[in-house]
Amino acid sequence: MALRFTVTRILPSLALFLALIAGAIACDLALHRAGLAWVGRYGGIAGSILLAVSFLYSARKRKLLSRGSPKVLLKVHETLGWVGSLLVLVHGGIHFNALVPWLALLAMVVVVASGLTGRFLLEDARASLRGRAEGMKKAGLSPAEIERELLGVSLLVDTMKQWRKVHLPLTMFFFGLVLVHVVATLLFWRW
Amino acid sequence: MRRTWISLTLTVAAAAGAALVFPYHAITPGRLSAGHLAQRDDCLSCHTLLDGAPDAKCAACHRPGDVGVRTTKGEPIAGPSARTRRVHEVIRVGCDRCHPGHATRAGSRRFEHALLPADVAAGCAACHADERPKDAIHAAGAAECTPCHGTSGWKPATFEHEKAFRFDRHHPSRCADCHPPGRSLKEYTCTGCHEHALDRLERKHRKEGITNIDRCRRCHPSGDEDDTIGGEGGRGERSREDDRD
Repeated sequence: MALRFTVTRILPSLALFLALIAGAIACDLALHRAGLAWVGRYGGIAGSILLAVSFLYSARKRKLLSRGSPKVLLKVHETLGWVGSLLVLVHGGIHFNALVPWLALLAMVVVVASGLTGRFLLEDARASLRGRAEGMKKAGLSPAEIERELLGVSLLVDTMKQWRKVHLPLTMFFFGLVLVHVVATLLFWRW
Repeated sequence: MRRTWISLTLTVAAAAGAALVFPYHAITPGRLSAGHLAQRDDCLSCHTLLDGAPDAKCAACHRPGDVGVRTTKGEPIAGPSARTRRVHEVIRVGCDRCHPGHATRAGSRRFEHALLPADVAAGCAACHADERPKDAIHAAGAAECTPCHGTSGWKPATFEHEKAFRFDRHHPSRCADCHPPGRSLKEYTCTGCHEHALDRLERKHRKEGITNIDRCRRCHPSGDEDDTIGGEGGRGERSREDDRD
């Protein structure tokens, strides 16, 4: 049971996180070997744009957007969040030039970890609800009764609400640092 | 939601404050060279907002005529470099093309000959005269370096004499036998030895109906009178490509 739980629930999220770190190191290494380290600079721009686009999901959830399937946008949020983070990690590399961009990079990694934790919690809560529904079905409850019963179970809502209390401030911490880094870069950039 | 906005506001305020108070530690894209560390928290001494680090600000300290000769304080450099000075006088790209102020992981992009104006790039000797080896091959040549050398380094030198003329026991690889000393290696003569007296050659070729005997190797790449190319007796004109000596 524990093994199954680990393989089906924990490993996918953990693998995504480790793949992000390993992918960034591999890309950075390849760029350096090819003498194309300068590409990383533009990876930062592309990554930031992808991360910004991934926030369409957040906008949809807060009804700032009226169109788009939340389910699809969540997938887009997860995918672009991962790819964008990879590009930004390659952009940052293993360099500690200044506090603001370095903290931004660190915050991004924490936000990704937090996002993957949220993904895990969501999957876990959904699986738990599915288990309850199956139990009720075996107990002879009708689909309408099951739905009514589950509406009263606030497990999913509560879990995600608690998680958001951590994820959103972390995201804002990351966003604030990125904002200062980008504005500083643009101010001193040759246009 | 309120907590979210408070997080954002506090973060931006703290980061922006740090950027204003100690910018070198807060936002620098890479460490500065030792000579620029004194200005490390005065970004605007080199930068202009929205205009990067303009050349004029570099030139305020690094006067173009002094580069390679005098320091920014006006003191003579121990080993002055006329080449460095000349390059900086003629180059037409911004300073940060070769000298990014901050050491970034992309590193300094090196000088490339392609950055020089074409007329300057063609005159190798103006910068590299002191590097010309004193051996027979180089002593015989004039200013041209490019037939043998590229711009990334003196070696490897790729000129293959065999493509122009094949040496043999009658034609050893002694430059001065064919190439007038001090002239371009493109110039050669085949009439400097007893075998190839000019009047005898002219007479012999005239019998074959050949009047133009200025470019011997065009028809005799090995120097052998029977080893001819380019048609009967060389009357048939070869392409211009082949004609380039």
